[in-house]
Amino acid sequence: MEYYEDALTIARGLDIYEVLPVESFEGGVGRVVRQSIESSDFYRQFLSGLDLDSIAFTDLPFTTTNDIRSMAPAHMRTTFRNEVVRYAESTGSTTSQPTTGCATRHDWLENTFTLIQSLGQVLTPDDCVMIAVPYSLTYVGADMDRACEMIGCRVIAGGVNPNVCSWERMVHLIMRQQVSTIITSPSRLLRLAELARELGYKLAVNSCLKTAILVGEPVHQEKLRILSELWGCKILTTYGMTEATSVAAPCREGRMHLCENRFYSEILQADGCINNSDGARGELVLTSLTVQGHPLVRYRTGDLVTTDRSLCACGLPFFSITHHGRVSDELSIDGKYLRLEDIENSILQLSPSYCSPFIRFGGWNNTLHIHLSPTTHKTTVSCRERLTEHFRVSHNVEVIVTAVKREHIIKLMDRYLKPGKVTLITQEEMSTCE
Amino acid sequence: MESTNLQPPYDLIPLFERRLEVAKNVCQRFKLSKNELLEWQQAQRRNIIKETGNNSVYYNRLWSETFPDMSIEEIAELPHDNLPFTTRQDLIDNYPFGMIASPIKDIVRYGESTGTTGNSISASYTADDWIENNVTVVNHLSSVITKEDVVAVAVPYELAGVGQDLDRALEIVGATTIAVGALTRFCPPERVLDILHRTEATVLVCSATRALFLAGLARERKLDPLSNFKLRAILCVGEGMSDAKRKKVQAAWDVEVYSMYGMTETNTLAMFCSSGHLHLTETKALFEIIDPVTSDILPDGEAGELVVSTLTTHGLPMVRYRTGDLCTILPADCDCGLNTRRLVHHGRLTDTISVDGIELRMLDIDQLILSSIPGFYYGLYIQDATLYIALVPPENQNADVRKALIKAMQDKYGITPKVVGIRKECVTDIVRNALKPSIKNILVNEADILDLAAVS
Repeated sequence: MEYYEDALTIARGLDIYEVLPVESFEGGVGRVVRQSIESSDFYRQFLSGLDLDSIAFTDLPFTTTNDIRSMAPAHMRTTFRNEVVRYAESTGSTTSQPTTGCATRHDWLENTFTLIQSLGQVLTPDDCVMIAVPYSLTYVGADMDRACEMIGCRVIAGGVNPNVCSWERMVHLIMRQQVSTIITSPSRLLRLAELARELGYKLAVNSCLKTAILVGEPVHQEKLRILSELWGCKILTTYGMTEATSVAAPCREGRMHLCENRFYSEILQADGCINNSDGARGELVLTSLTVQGHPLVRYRTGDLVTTDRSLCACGLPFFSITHHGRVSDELSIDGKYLRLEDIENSILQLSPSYCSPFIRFGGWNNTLHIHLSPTTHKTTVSCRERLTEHFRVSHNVEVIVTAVKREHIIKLMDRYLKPGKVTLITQEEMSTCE
Repeated sequence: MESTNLQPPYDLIPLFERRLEVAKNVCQRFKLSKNELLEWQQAQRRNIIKETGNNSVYYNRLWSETFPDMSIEEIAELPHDNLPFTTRQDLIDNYPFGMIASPIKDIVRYGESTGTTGNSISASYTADDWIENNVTVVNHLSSVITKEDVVAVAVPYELAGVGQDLDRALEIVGATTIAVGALTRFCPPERVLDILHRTEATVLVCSATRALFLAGLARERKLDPLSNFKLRAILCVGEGMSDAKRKKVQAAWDVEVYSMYGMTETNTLAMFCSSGHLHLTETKALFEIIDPVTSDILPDGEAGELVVSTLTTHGLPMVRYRTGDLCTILPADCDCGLNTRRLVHHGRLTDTISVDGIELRMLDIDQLILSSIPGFYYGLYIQDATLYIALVPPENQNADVRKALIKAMQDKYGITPKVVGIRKECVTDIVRNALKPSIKNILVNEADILDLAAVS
């Protein structure tokens, strides 16, 4: 059986402590990057005219999502075309050109095996894992599912298709099957907590959840705290993308380690400079080191991260990152730029505990608009005063706080393909409502 | 960065050595002669009976109550048809883990029936069960699918095993797998067509009803299924299929059509071969056909209810499980060289409609209607002992088609249906919104029935 023999060979050769083959970048762009370029129709075309023997790696141009999208069919046609075992597309838009990815057997197994090095610190065969992420198109469901199954966990493929496993059915399964770990998005986990309450469950009593591994959306400090309190469980995060499979995975210490055996990373700062020092904050740029099917060379992920290069007690040698969302995740209000992360953290921190964690906000007409669902009129007044004061002092922007029914926000979440999208209110949406 | 506290890497080697061993055992069984396979089945049957008696709460109780004076070793030696049946109701009553024969910590996959009504039934697989099934499927798939193929899998991945199992088997074969899923908001039928088109997919996995719907939708979108796509095969799963429907799928896409058969609780039960026949997975289970009323065992060639006894399943072993499916088992005799017998699936036993006291099997009606009309959309409605056959434009306007249809129904069943009109959307919307589009979707609402002339 060729597949299992290949898997054994890859498992035997996997060395997670081989962090960065530095010699690979010596002499022009180096052996590894040259292989990626020469095996890919896209990169041969994209970088044509450059002398790969003399150009330094750091002088190579960046690749962007638009580059990949515009060349999607050609990008697949690599030397390894016939070795590709998985093709994936981004789940976001159903109309525009999607971002695509593909993986050879080697890529796919190495990806799963690397993920297991992280998840294996957190999960054991005694765990029951609910996988509540998409199985269609994207890699994430298949990726997490295989890793958990190989660890020996009892895997329930819940998915996110309400026609098969409705929100209600998922809550019942979590409780009845004594699910100990859930892999899902932060907004879905929040929604499931609310629904469990509606269905008469007391999370503290009925839930056996020990760990939630969040994926698919950035999750910020305050929401992490709220989710952890609601479910009484440890929250970990993981990070990947259609173009690259898993990029960073959680460890038992709660950090998220970048898979440095598979990717070389750079941190691109707003001033256009690369800063790879400890604590650097900027856009994550990835160069794949071992990928055959869908190689990436200086690929601008569009994601804002902070690095932590201190040693981790878990023992993994990879540095860790904190994901702050997309670089573009900000609102321009009255000439000031506010990051969505900061707004969300502030609102959730300043809202009293009796205010629902279901919040929405947006910026237009030089004003930050916040929708909250407090329990009483008095709460609304209190929240309004605190938030107005906070954003005036910290950002010098005006705030309008509107009380909305929590059911309204929840209903909106249920309507969205990705429930987390509901957080951001657009002016167009408001004018339509009006 | 240097680390002074290296954690030993998670050791994957024992896991894959075990998987390789299971895979080799499965492949070895495919090479057994007919007699060797029979011998292996009998020995394995005894082992599994003993295992159920020792490890399954449900079967331990069943054996004690049915054979109070016998040891499990003696029960294992009984003729197979002396053992009681297991029914779907038993699975419901013992949901979720009352029947399993392995410790819960050894279960690596838990599944449930995907139906939205009624009580759930569960399925539990150990790692060995799962690999056993994956590799069984691989042995059949590889007779048709190669590494060169790009395969779009348009069946559910959630809860039930079918999508997960096929996906892994395709990955083991080395084909490029695209997890399209079924009825997801991420991937509506229009996007499925876009993906088939832009990836130049060569194989599609879905129900026959969905395959026909996609062909119709492609034409509506000015894409020709015959020239704008690269499909060469469609693997049909999830419903019984009439021969006429198979021919429609073949013609609509100009492809070879292959069938697969299985259920959540048992995993794969029959797979296609290179000659296009459906072979029972006798390398992992025993099969019988019984009269669904008297429970008498029927010989090969006669239609009856399929009964399955698993031989290699340790998570949820089942002894003489009544599947509720009407099937015929045919001898192995097949050009492909497999020693396993063939299966013809006629649909669920309950897939019938009653017209004026006459029970009609839906697949038989499907065969009759699809043989009589040029297209593939129609609906059925029954009122006051009358069967209404609703045709979509332009077939409803064709007097010859109507006459031929009525005559065929009179000749076969002695009933005279009324042929009426229906807007195509009334039929296609049902299929579009069905998680598992199947023969049941031909039943339409009274409000949708129109005069022939009213639809054009």
